[in-house]
Amino acid sequence: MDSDEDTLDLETMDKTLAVIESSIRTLLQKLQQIRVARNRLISINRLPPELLVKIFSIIGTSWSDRSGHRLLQLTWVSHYWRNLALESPNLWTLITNSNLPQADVWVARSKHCPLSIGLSEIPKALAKVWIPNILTVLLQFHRTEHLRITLHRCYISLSSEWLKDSSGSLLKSLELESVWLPDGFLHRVPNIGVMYLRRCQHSWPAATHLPNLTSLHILFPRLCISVLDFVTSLNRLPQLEHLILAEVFLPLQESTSLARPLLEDGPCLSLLKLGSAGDTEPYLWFLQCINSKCITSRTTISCNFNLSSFTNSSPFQRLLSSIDELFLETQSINSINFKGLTFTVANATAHAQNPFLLLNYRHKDVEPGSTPPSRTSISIELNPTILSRTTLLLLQQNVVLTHLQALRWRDLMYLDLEGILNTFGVLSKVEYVDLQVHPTLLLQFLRSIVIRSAGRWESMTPASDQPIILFSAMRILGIQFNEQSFPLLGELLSNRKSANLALETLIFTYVPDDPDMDLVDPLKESVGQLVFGGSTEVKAIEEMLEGAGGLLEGCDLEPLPDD
Amino acid sequence: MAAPATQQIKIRCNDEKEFTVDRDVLERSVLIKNMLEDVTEQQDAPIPLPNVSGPVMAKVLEYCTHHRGEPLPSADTEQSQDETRKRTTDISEWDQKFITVDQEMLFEIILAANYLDIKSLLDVGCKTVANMIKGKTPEEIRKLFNIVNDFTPEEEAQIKKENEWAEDR
Repeated sequence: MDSDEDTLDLETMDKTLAVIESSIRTLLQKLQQIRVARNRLISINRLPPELLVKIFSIIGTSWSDRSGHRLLQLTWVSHYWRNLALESPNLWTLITNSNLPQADVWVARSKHCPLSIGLSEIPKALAKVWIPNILTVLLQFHRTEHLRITLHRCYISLSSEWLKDSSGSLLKSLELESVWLPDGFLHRVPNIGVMYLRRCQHSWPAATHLPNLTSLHILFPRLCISVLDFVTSLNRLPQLEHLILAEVFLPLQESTSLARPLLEDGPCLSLLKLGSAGDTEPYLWFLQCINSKCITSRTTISCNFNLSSFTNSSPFQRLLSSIDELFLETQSINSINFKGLTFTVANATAHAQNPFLLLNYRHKDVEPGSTPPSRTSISIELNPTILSRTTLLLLQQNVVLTHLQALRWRDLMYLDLEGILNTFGVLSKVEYVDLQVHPTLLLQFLRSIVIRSAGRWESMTPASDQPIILFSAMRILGIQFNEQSFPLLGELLSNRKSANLALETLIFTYVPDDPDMDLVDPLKESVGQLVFGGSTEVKAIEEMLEGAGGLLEGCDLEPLPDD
Repeated sequence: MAAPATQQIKIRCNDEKEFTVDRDVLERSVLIKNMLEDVTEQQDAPIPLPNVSGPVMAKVLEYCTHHRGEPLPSADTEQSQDETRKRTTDISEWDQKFITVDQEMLFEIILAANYLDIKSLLDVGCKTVANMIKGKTPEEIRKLFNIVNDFTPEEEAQIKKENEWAEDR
């Protein structure tokens, strides 16, 4: 009996337990439903779903670090946010280093939406772990719209196996570094618009037809194609607007014949460091372009050549002599850049906004009846580190400077002052000078300017608009001016505009030979207050001068007084 | 010759509050711009805006007045998804100051910008909310917006698993 009673009790109790558990489950369910319903009423969730998704997208789909993790976290906030995010495949289309370990989650959640993949340098320690994830990602090549793989320390090879079942027809932009592309790769990407290949080994079939390619950058390529074939293949890129080739080796015998096919109906070009068998070859090539006048239809031509190894002045001279013709004949050229020299078209507005456009000269007047050029000026930036007397004389011969607007030299270690002064000619037009040069060079330069320009600068007053001289963190040491030039320099420096900009200037006067010759006072009078601004302290100056070493040996240092 | 006077347009909000505003200011709203273009004759009756209240409209008009004359984003310049990814959450100083309001007003402004089709204001609002969320843990986000944890046990288990992936990194 006892046993029966026990059984009965157990059954009853189990039933009761089941009822209670079921009630708890129902209540928990109800609780969860109420929580869900409550959450829907809070203000942020009253936004339409598409706006919430837009906010999620700002947080979780940028190329920045941890954006993937942030997106994942959003799905851990509430039932509604989680469902909303999981039902928005577009949120899951970006795969970068930040979410590479969970690439399969992104691949699954993005459903069939086009992917954007951006993998940069992979930490060495993680490379092994991540390889399967990279494979997972690359297998999605068929639905990838943007692919960027830039690995700096290792090469990866895109196997044709991975791409076997894919047409790659969605791919619009491709940026690859240190990636070996399989044969036939270009045939798989017919819709590509932008291609940037750096240190990539690949073949470039002459028959490549990429109707939508607008921008092609190839840097340090290992092109498995002859240059002429490559140039010919450009004709199969009807939309190409930008072509940048860097470190492309052009065999000498081929390069001159490149000019016409490359430029006649081709894209605008930027030929960066176009290598050749000889130093001067690029210039000859460029001259060929100019002479053939086949660049008239370009909207932009930008050529960057390294002049630093330039030893023979002849091609450069020829180039300079062609500039007038070039700019007169080819309305569409915006800039020709050389490392070391830049010839840039500038309009008046741009000039006004940019005081650092260095030299500016007006193009010679156009012959009556001809079409006036749209450009009115050309600015030339000189890199003084490679300036030599030869180049300056060439400039002097070939470039007519009528309006020197601004001048800036930084880190100037070698300078042919005579050459510059001869070249620039009329310095009264200078509106802005920023010199950060070696003191001895500066000294020579100032002396030359003052001596040469003494007559003109006599008429300058503090109210004058010019010149504005900016001495920025610069020391002038041991100035030895003559009686005439010294007060003029003082007047120049006392120009209110220059004074406003000259707060960091320290000037020390040193008159070694003739102690009776009081050249200092006029300078003190005119410069003292404005240039020094009452900030001179002898001790600080002395400390600073200790660093100047032998330059100041034997100097009778006399700091200028405050105020 | 005097410059032609700017046309003034009257609008009426859902709380009967009325505003008389320069046409170019109102035309920051694509919705109103289209409405005005559809009306050939000048009408004195105010344009009804049933989805916007007076106080919110006042804020929206403050924004539109400050940005009057700036080019409107055209349909052609609609951002692609790739461009969206490059989009930062930077907001100009004035806009930041303007959008420093309580949460309730912030979401009302976003809703109004969405309804009135003022893309730049909508962007400012969404970026502001994104900036509020960025860098916070799920728990902190819940606290910020007064959200309660409403996950089912199954969801909790799945989230725990996902959390472990993230921790594994």
